[in-house]
Amino acid sequence: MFGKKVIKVLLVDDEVEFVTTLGERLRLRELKVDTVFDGTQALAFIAKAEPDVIVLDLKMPGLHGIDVLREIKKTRPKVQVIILTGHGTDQDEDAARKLGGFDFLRKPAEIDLLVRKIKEAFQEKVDRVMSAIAFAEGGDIDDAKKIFNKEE
Amino acid sequence: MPPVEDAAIERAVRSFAAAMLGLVAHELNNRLAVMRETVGLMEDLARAGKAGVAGTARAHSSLDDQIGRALNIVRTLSGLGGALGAAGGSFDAATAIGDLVGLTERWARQKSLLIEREVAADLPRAGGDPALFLCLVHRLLVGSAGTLQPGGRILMRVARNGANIHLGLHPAGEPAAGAMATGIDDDRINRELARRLGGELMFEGGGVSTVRLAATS
Repeated sequence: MFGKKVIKVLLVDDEVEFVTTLGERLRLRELKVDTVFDGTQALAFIAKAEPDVIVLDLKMPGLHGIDVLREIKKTRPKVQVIILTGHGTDQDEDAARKLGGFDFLRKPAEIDLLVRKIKEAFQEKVDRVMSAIAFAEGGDIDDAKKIFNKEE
Repeated sequence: MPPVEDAAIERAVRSFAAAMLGLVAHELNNRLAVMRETVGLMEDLARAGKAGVAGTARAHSSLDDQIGRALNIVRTLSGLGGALGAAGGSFDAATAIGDLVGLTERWARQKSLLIEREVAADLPRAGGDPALFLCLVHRLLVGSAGTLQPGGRILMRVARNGANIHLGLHPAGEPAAGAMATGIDDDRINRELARRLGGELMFEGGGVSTVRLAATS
């Protein structure tokens, strides 16, 4: 929980046992967790529902995580994305951050670190929404939209 | 055409070694990550007073499975290391290919690529440097995979042919749009690798490539 809000997390990883176990651990820490096992499933999920934070692997069958991130930022720009990968290069990290990835962690990550990053990502999302509201209330609709859609 | 320089061959072999080490590191990291999360979950449940017999048994089974998979990777790597380090100028081509396919399993799965092997019984040992052989086979495999859309298949057929051993790579499936099997430079390096093995690389129709090696027995 974060205040009274339950943070909604989508885990995306083709290692079924890893992501299922991680999901259970995050649920024990009062996060609402869904899991999918590749990029196509992730995009299908976000077409119907909007998580607060996505924890995304890079090397998966089919779509590469960077391509999934790119697509997420097009269709659900407010969703925060944390990359969690066992195979990330510096180039991958650069690419992810340029596409708006919130953070880049290497697998296996300490559970407390991951939870902290999820909460920080969610807090940034909340702050952005509040900032957009403030601009909108001040009549600055264009800036409000840009902030809301993470264009600045 | 100018001859292929030693440096180009050395780069190809180093690149192969790096790819193999990368695959092993990634796979072992994944096994360890699952183990870590499983142990972490057991601790979480115990702390929350929710640890039960069924859950503990499931966790132990998961750990056992991951350890087994990690050991398989270590054994395969050890076998590959043995083949690469073998003195005597001959090697077991079928075993070497089996080890290579084992290590590239995850890579193949990520490409939705099925790699199958047909190995003739009582295959003789092959002559030549196993490092060059595995480097060449890996390059041909990656090249073949590049010609296919996800869901494709590559059949690796190893058989005796008189005094030689033939390894054929037969790709099958929907061709990837605009893909060529390999570039001209790649072809030259592949042919040179085969030549340095004391063999030959032949290209046939339908993207099929065949490596001919001399048998030593």
